[in-house]
Amino acid sequence: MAYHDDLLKQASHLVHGMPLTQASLRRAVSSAYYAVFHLLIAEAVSNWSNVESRAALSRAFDHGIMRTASNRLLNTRDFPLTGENPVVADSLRLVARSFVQLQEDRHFADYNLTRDLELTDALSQVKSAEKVFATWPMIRTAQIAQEYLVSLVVRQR
Amino acid sequence: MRHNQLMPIVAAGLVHRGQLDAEIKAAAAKLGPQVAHVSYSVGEDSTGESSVFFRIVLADEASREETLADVTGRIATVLFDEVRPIENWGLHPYFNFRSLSEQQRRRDPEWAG
Repeated sequence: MAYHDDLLKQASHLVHGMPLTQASLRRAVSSAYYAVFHLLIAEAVSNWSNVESRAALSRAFDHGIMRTASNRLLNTRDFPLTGENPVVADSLRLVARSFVQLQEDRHFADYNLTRDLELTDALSQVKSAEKVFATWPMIRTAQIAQEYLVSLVVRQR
Repeated sequence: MRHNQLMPIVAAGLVHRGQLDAEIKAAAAKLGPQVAHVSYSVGEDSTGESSVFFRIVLADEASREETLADVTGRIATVLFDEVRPIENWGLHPYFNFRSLSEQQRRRDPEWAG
């Protein structure tokens, strides 16, 4: 099983555990984010033909650059995706939106103890990651999805 | 700044709070009985970007695990498409959810209706 699949499974396990603690809910959200983070990286580096170098290439990805790239895609004025299959475009935006949301929630889960994390909130984030995993295989071969993967590693100038 | 309904946002210029409030209320009215209440705040996210944080209280029936992903996805999409926070307001939207029974237990004023 791939690492990102393990992380998603762990997120689901944690959010369904008993007794539910703040630690398990917060680790569930964090694992859900990292599942999506590593899924997208694995998909991107899978285009690199030298299999032995993929793990090292994965180190080039940066949370901030990936977030910026995802945010850009969500701006329908700057990126209307005109002419693209609307189902693919909507699905890709769902992936991008989920990534940004999960990253923000991961930040809250790991660092912000000013209020408790509720089960519904944590579960919705795990479900969101699961939705990304279900959606991505349906669009992964589309050119705009491949361009999105490239944008995740290229700093905007 | 509350008295003149303008909220200063460094990156996005000025947000006219009254207009944003009206648009969010209009969008929330389209969400149907699965939603008990929508509140929001404007501020910076963890990266310092101007953002709008939606806090959505779901009816308990809508919070069931089997349908939670579809329910939350639909709600986020409606708010995203109706308010267009990025394009029209320069705000990155975030959506967080809790059930009505969770909110009744917490009585958190930030989430209150």
